[in-house]
Amino acid sequence: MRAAALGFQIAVTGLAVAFLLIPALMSAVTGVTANYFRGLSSGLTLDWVARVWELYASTVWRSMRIALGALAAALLIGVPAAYALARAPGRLARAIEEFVSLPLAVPGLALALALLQLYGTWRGFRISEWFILVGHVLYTLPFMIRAVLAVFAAIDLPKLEEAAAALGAPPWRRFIDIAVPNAAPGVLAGALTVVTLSIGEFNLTWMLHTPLTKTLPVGLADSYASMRLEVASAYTLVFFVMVLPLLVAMQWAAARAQGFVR
Amino acid sequence: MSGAAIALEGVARTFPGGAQAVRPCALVVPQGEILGLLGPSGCGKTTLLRLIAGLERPDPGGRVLFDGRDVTRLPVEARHVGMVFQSYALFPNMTVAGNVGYGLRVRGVRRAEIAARVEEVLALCDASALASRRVDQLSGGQRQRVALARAVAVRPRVLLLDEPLSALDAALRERLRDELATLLRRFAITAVFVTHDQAEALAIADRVAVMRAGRIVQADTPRALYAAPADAWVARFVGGAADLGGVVSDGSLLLPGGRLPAPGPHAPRARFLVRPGGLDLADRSEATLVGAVTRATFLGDRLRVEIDGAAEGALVVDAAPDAAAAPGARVGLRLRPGGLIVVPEAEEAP
Amino acid sequence: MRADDRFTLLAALPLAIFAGAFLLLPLARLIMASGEGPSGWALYGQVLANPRYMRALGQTVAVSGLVSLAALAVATTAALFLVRRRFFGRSVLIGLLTFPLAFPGVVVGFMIILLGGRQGLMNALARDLFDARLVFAYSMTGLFLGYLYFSIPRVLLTVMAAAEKLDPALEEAARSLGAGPVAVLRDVTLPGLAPALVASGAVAFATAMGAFGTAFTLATNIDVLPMVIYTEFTLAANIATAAALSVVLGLVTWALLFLARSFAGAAVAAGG
Repeated sequence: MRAAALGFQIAVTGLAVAFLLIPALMSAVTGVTANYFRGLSSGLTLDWVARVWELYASTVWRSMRIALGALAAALLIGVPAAYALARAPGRLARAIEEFVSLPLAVPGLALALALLQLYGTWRGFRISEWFILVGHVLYTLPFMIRAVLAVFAAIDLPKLEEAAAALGAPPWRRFIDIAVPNAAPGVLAGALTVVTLSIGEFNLTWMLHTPLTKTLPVGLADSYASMRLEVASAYTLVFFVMVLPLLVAMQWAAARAQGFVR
Repeated sequence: MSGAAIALEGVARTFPGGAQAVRPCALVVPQGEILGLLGPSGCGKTTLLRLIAGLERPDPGGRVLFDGRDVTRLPVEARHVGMVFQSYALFPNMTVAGNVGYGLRVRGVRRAEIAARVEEVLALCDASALASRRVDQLSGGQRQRVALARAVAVRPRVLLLDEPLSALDAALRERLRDELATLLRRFAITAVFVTHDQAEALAIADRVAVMRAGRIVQADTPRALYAAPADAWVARFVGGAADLGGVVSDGSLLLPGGRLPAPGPHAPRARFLVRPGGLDLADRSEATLVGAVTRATFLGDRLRVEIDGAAEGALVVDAAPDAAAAPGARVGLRLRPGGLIVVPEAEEAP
Repeated sequence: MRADDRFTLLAALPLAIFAGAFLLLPLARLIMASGEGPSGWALYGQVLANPRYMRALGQTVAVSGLVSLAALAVATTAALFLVRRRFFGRSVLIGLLTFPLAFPGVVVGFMIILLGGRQGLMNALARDLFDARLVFAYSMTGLFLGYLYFSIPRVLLTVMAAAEKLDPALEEAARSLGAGPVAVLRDVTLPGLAPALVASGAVAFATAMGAFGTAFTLATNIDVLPMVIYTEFTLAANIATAAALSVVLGLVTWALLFLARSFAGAAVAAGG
C-alpha cells in the first residue's frame, strides 16, 4: 500500500518534471543546433544566437532598462508605501492596500486597455519607453509592497519604532535607521521579484508597445510568429540565460526573507 | 513643585471605543525615587507608564510635568526619557554597541564621545564583553542588561521600565530582580517601573503605587503597604490576606471557630484580615480559634494548611514544615504578633 | 497633526500619486469608455446576452477551472513527495520545477508548440514509432496544457510551503489512533493544506482567466475571453465592447481572488 503510494508520487512528480523541462531543454538545444529537422547530427552552432543578437539586441537592452526602472520605482514608491501601510491602522489603509494590489488580480490586458484609453492620445508619452515602464511598475509594485509588508508585520515594527522614538529619533530617522534596515530581506526578495517579472512581462507590454519600443517578450512573440524554429529557440535561450540566475536569486532571497519572518 | 521629577495632574486615558484604561489620577515622583507601579493585568499600569513616556496622550485636561515643566504636548522623542520595553525591543540591525549608542547618534554626538559613553554604560551594566555581539546572540538576561544600558546611555531625566523582568524565566527572574535593584541605585536616577509581581515591586521599589481598574489605590513604601493596606483589596492583592468576617465585641473578634484578640479602638465598620503568616497552628489549650483542615500542601520550608470553620471563609495558614495537620483533623490556631490587619470597611468598587 | 502621522502620509505620497494617475484614473476611464458606445450602458446587457461572448466566457471559466483542478492534483502530489522525502538532487529538482515561474505566456505557448506542434516532439515520436500524426498544440488540449504549464509551479510553491509547516505530530497522532495512509491523507493532511489549496487554486484560476500570451502564441481559434477582448480592440476597433468585456473579466477575477483570500487568509495573488 505504502510502496504503491510512493510509486504513484514518484511517477506524478517525474511526469511533471518531464512536462516542464523537456520543452525547455528542446528549446535550448534547438537554439544551438545547425538544423532542427536533421537534429543534433547537423552539428552545434552559435549562428542562430548571433542572428538573434543582430535582430533583437535592442529588445534585450530595453527590457533591462525597463526592469531597472521598475526596480527604482518599486524602491522609491513601494518601500515608503509599505512603511506607511504598516503604520497606518484601520480600514482605509487596508482598502488602499487592496486597491493598489488590483493589478495582481485584474488581467494585464484590462489594465493595458485602461492605460491606452486615458493616455493613448498623449503621443509623446504613448510612443516612449516610459509608457511601458508605467505598465510594468503598475504590475510589479504590489509584489514589492507585499514582500516588505510581510517583514514589517513579522518584526513588530511598532515596538522597535517606539524604542527608537524613546531614544529621541524623529520619524524620518526611525524610517532610515530602523524600518528600512530591518526590512532588508523583504526589500531584496521584492526587488528580485520585480526585476524577474518585469523582464518576463508580456500581457500589458504587448498592448502598450510600439514597433520602436519592443521588449524581450514582445520580440519573442514576434519571432515565434515569423522566424524559423531555430531562431525562435535561440532567442528563447537568450531569455532563459537572463532569467535563470534571477529566478535562483529570487528563490534564495524569498527563502531567506521567509526564514527571517519566521 | 520643586524636587518632583515627575508629576501627573488629572491624567486619564480613554481609548477609542470608550474603555477608560486610566482614570483621572495624580502622582508625584520625587527626584531619585524608584517607584513601582503594581497591579493585576489590565489595571492600566502600562498605559500610565506610556502616558509618562509620551507614547500615549492623556485625555484633555490632564498634565504631565517633568521637573515642574509641562511636557504633556511633547512627543516621546522630545521628552528625554529612557525606556526599557517588556520585550526589550533591541534593534536587530545593530550590534549591542550600536543599540546602546543609538540615542546619542540621533542627538548628533561625536563618534568618539559615543564610543566612550557606550563603553562606560556597558561597564556599569556588567555587559562590556557583549559590545560587538549581534542582538540575536544574546541570552534573555543579557538582553535585559543591554536594554537597560541603551536606556540610560542618553542620561535621561527619568527611566521608565515596562515589566522589565517578565520576559525572563522564573529562576533568572529572581536573580536579576536583585541585580536590577542594585543597578538602578547605582545610576541614581528617577525610575518608574511596571510590574504585576508584588515580590518584584517590594524588592526593587522605594515606593509602590498599587493600581486597580485604572486608579492608584495606594502609594506607599513597601513596608507601609504591607503593614497598613489602604483597603481590603490591597490587603488581599499584596500578601494574599483573607477576610475573616466576624464581629468585634469587647476587644475580641468573634468568629465561628472562636475568637481573636482585637484591641480597639476600631472604626465603626472596620474589616479584619489575616495573611497566611499571621496565624500559627497551636496546641488546643493555647488556641483561641479552632477549625478543620481541608488540605495540607508541603512546600519544603513550610506547610500550607487550608482550614474551614474557623473564620467565615476559608483560611490559609503557613505552619512549620513538620506540623501535624492531616486533612480532616481539627486544629487550634493562634494569632501571631501583628498578624491582624485592620482596614476601613469602604472598598472602592472597581 | 502629530509629526508621526505627517511622516506616514509623506511616505504614502509617492504611491498615492502613482496609483492615482496610473491606476485609479485609467480604470475609471475604462469603465466610462465601456458606456460610450452607441448603445451606452445597455452594452453590458447586450454583452451578457451575446452567445459568442458568453460561450467565450464559459470556455474561459471551464478551461481555467479544469486547469486549476489538474494543477492542484499534480502539484499537491509532487509537493507531498518533495517535502517528505530527502534525496540527492532534491533542491535542484525543486528549482527546476519552479523555473517556469518566470516564463511569460508567450514562452509557455512556444513550449507547447515544441511539444505538440506540427514540428513538435510528440508528432515526431508518433511519426517515427507509429507512423501516425499527433498535433495538439493549437487545440483546446494545447491551451489546457499551456495553462497547466504555468500553473503547476505556482501551486507547487504554495502547497510546499504549507506542507512544510504542517505539524508531523498530527499525522503521527492519526496513525497512532489506527488511521491508514488513505485516512491520514483524507482526514489530516488535506484538511491541513486546505487554505493553501484554496489560495493557490484561486491564483491558478485567476491567472488562467487572464492569460493572454499563451493563447496568442498558440494562435488557436478557441475563443477565450482575453483573445476576444484583444480581437475586439485591435481588429474590430470595438472599443466600448472591449472595455466592457475587460471590466467583466476584471471584476470576475478580482471577486474570485477576494473570496478565496477571505477564506484562506493568506496572500493570494495572480501573476503572469
